[in-house]
Amino acid sequence: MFFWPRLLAAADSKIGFVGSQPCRTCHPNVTSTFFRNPHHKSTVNESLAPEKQGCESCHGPAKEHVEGRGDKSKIFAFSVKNPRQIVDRCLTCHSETLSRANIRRSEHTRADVVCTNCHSIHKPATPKALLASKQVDLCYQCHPNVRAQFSMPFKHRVNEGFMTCSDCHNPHGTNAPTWRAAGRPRMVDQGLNNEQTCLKCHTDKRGPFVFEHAATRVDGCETCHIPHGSANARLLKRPTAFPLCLECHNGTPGFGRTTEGIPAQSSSHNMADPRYQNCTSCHVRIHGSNSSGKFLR
Amino acid sequence: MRITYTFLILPMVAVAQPTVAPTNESVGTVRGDNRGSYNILQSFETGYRFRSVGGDVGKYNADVNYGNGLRLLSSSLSVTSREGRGGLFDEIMLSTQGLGNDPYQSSTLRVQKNKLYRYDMLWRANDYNNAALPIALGQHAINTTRLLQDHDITLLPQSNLQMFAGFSRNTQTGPALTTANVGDHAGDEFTLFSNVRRQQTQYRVGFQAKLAGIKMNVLRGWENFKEDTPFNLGASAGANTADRNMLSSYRRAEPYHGTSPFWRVALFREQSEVWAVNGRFTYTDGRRNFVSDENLLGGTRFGALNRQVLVFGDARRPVATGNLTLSLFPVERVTLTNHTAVSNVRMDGNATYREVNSANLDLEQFSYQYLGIRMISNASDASITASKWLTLVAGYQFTDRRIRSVESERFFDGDPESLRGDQTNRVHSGRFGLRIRPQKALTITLDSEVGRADTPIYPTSDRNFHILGGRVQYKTKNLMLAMYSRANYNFNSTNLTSFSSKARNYGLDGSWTATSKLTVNAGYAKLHSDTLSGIAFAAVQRRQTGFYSYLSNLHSIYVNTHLTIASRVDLLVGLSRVEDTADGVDRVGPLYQAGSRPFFFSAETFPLAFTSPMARVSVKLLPKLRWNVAYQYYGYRQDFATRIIPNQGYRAHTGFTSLTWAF
Repeated sequence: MFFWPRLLAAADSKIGFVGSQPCRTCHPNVTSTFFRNPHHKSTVNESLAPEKQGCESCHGPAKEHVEGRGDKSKIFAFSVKNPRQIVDRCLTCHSETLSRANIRRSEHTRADVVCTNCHSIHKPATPKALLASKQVDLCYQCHPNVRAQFSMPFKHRVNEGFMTCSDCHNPHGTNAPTWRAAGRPRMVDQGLNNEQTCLKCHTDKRGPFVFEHAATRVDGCETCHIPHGSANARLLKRPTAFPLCLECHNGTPGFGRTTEGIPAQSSSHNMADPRYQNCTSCHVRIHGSNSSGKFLR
Repeated sequence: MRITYTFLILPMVAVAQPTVAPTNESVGTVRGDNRGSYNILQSFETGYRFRSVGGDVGKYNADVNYGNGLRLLSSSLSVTSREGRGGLFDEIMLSTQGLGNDPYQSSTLRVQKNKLYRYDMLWRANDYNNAALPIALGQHAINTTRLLQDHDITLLPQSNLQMFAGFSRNTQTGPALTTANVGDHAGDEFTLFSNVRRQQTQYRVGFQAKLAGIKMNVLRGWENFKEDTPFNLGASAGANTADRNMLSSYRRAEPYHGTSPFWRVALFREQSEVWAVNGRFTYTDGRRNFVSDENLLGGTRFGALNRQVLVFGDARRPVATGNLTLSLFPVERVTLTNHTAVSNVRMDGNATYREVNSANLDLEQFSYQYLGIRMISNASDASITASKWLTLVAGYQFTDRRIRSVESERFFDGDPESLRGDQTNRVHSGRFGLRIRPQKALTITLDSEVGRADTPIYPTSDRNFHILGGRVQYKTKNLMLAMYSRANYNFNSTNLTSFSSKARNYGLDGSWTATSKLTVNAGYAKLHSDTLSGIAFAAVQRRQTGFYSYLSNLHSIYVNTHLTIASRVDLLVGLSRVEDTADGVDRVGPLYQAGSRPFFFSAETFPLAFTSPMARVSVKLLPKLRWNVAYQYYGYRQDFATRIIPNQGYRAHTGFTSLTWAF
């Protein structure tokens, strides 16, 4: 009984399809260059069922729309549908990809930022992902604070076109991070082998090392770095090593691997001498070392 | 039809990123040219890029790095089968950027034939330069080239059984300078030259099968890494020439090779109006073998130095993770999701350290380390559309993390000294948000999160945190205005020290398409960061403690305008400026003072400004030919200088002149 209305609806859905040819009459601006569109492959695939072919695969049966002389209410017009309906419609076909498996729980979907907010099927600026404009400009529209971060002196080269936001983020939603208590950051995509996305490019920091700097494995690279951009060299949170390292390495009980405190600086280091103020002058392998538990080589 | 073309071009000219990037203006007809059953669309932009830098060139290279010379600034080629039934392919898409010698070069290629195959290639090259590293007195420098390439092929991309294979390579080569400490803690730092040689290679194969609406995606991969950077130094007095440490020769070789094979298995079903589910399991093994051989001759304050250090061993890190997401849509206005994540990381390894001094065995040490992180997290979220104008979002997340640690070392054949740790860290956080849409163009979003963690592992980790955010956006077809505010607070304190951080962002953003020939984008953001931490350090053999405050007030503005004049000339002008004003607060302190000279301050600010105005003109000479000229200025000004960070200001004039054509 539960499925009976759906079966009836499915049978009804075969009715009212007219094919893509009538669309050319009123929408020549869309159809004239549509052969470049990835969706065009459904138009030329005659073996597909009518509801999966051409314009009607997205916009639904067009018979009433044609008979109604372009009545928008008689067809699935994305411009008047609510976000949930748009996601459902696109997922009819685009649920096939693993990278979109978390789309319904993504921050974007929950904020009503759905497919058509970023993708322009008929007027794309980028031929590959059919984005409405260049990817970084799209993201900046809602994340202007990130634009400010990428305008810093030190930054990942996103504005320069070397990287894109989706190199690190999956706008369609991700699984929980495997670092930093799984809460934040959200929408950051893991590498193929489920490690922090930074390690996809910064492979020399991956290890494994005999002596891991535990901070990078427990709380992630953001313990010391600001990934988008920073006024400080190496995208560090602080301009100098003095506070950056000593904010954790202060020996306070309750913290660290043994909860007996993260080792404080040795009394043999005279911080009044500037040569000791640059921790990484000697602790050169700060991300991890095989030869030195103090990261000296 | 002319209007149609204008609409097609508009999204391309609307982008206005203030960087000396290739021009966005298109050449030729948007319809392309027909050759046989294919349609071809192409454009090339080639020209000369120039720069003139005054001040700290090293800092310029670290920040910007554009140079002089001929470039293929950009190109694009699209060959498409008009009927979707080509011969060997239905579509080729190629685009490039910066080829020739730009510091940021990339090339993407897609070749596909419907229903049969799809091939994607991404190639990138980055001249990575960082000569201005203040964190080590400028001794650490790097001027390397990083090459990244990814190749992926999918067979039967539209069928229920897809197969895929891929290959990626990441190579870093080039010169670098690093340091080595020689002698005891009062020794010296010697600057070493190294020729970086790193390479990571990944191979992967897999398939995706669909049965009864459920997809199973299986991927098997192998990731290999090798690094064999050599370090060499001749006679040197070291960084501190006044002491008695010196080297007559230094050589270190440390080959480091390993592999990380991995599995990923995923089951997912998203296409449903009632429920959706996806699960994923991954397992990654990781093993690295290493040898380090260091030879040095010289002298220290204790006499002549003739030492060889040999370290060998291996390291392992198997990682297992699992994810399960269940989404329910009981009625159209309600979405419920639950996500469970499990991860288990085990890191262990051992190193045998042997030091031979003046041909006598001096020291043998065996070290073993283990760090295990087991985490279970569950997050539930609900989204309820109460009415046309109101949506409520709420969620709760719980994470349980256990961290176990073993540090063990043994000298010669003595008993090992072991240090063990075991702790559990739990985090509870709740979220609540509102989305109000009183009219179609206006959206007001409010969100909040509050969380509590016990036993955070670091003084800077999240402990008692809360986040408040709000955004108001007015968006019509031609106008978008938005303002937002976001505040992140974290308090992590104990009875001996404390850490608190406050980060607040405020901003305004606007975009106006006045006509099809004029667009204006502008925005302002303030990024405020204020942290207070307890620190401890040694000075003149005495332990010093105190509170340290770091204050940063970054103001960022951007504005750019795109104007089309008489359908032939496109003008783009823009300005980007970031300034850390510290709101007029100077250093306060001192936290520590030796004699009359303060070394550390209890509150520090680092005011600076980074300004970059730009202009670009593109003139349509012929239907298929445009001439472009662009100029961009980069100015970096530091309003502070310390012993550790010298003044690194610079002024750079950059730009290019180019021709864009289609043929």
